[in-house]
Amino acid sequence: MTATSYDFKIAAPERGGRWSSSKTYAVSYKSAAIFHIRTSTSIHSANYSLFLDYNKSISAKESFLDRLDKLYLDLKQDWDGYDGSPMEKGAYENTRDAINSMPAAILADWNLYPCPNGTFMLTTKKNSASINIGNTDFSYAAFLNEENQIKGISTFNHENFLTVISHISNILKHEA
Amino acid sequence: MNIINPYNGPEHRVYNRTFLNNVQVGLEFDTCKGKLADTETLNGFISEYFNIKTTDQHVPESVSRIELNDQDKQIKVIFTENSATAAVEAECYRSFTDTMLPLASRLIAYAEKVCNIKSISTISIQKKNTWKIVADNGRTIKEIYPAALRHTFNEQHIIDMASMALPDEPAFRICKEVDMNIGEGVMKAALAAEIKNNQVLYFNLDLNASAWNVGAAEAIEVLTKLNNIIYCAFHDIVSDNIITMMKEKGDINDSHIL
Repeated sequence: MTATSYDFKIAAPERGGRWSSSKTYAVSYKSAAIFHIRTSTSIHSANYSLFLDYNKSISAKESFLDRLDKLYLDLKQDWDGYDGSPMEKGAYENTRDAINSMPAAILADWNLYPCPNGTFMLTTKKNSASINIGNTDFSYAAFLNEENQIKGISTFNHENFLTVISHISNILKHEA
Repeated sequence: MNIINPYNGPEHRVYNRTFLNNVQVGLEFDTCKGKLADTETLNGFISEYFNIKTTDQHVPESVSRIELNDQDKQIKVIFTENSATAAVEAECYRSFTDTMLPLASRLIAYAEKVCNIKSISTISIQKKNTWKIVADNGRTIKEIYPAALRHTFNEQHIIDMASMALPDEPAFRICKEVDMNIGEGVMKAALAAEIKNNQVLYFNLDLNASAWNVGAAEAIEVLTKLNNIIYCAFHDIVSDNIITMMKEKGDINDSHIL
């Protein structure tokens, strides 16, 4: 701190001396509530590269979700020429939850495809793992070698899905 | 002095980048009436702790607030008859230990030497984090708001904010607060989504940890414990996406510890 120089100001005499608050939300308000704008927020230019990366990562996830929405809305009966079914609502909602819960860094390694039975398929870009998500369950498989493989079926929920993603990510860490 | 950390850690580590906006440390104590009028003691304190000579400046007879700024206006220190605060902008914040504890030492010295205070009524740390989102590709902020919220914060903390219907207004703010008992103190978290217009959204996470009736001699130790609680709370609230981005190197090579 010895290298820092300070300006010295003495303010005009005033009462109190406490910091005034520009925030006016209610005291001890526990739940989410809507208030009109009263504060002004800004970010520092020094963190600009971080904010660019942050916005890009949101855009990447949004692109994934956009693709999901398009597949759900656009694919009608016989969409594949072999009597493929439209996407199931439950499968769509579960896949949406799955994509939302996947960290952006992990999601970047996956692709999304529709299946003729109305479910969704997530596969890694190197095709070493896949997850098929339906209305109530999801199945998964990852194979790298005899020591690094996993497969199974599980009820779809947030916790189960993230557990499987974590296992698959650990296996794929060994991928060249 | 019993400060309880309700979290189960992570250990402190160095991050390459931060979403921190500013950090503030503050003391509140019983009013020391007339102490600021003791110009000899006051000048001696400012000279010793801030290396400023004040004898040639006009000092009004009754002074109740003194403000010091560094030359870049990134650091602000304010003394009054019942408080002392130091606020640092993100650009010159390196770590709590390196940046805030030396400032806190000066605040404590002010309380002890100028105001003759032995016990501090309230000692607090406030850290403000900000995320800015700009909608692109023809989308509006309201369209990307739920995904952006889930991308930034852990689900259990924002499930109500993500599912509520947004008002049909061009600008608004959604805010939630939580108070947490930490023994002889309290940790407050305020999470807000501020929609400025159709294209710009800010998320603000303000974390404030306070302890009460702290002896001047143990103030630094208490501040360190409070900072650790804030560190743990931050990691509990923000998503792994955010932590991953903070670990990555950007254009700035400075290291930041929360």
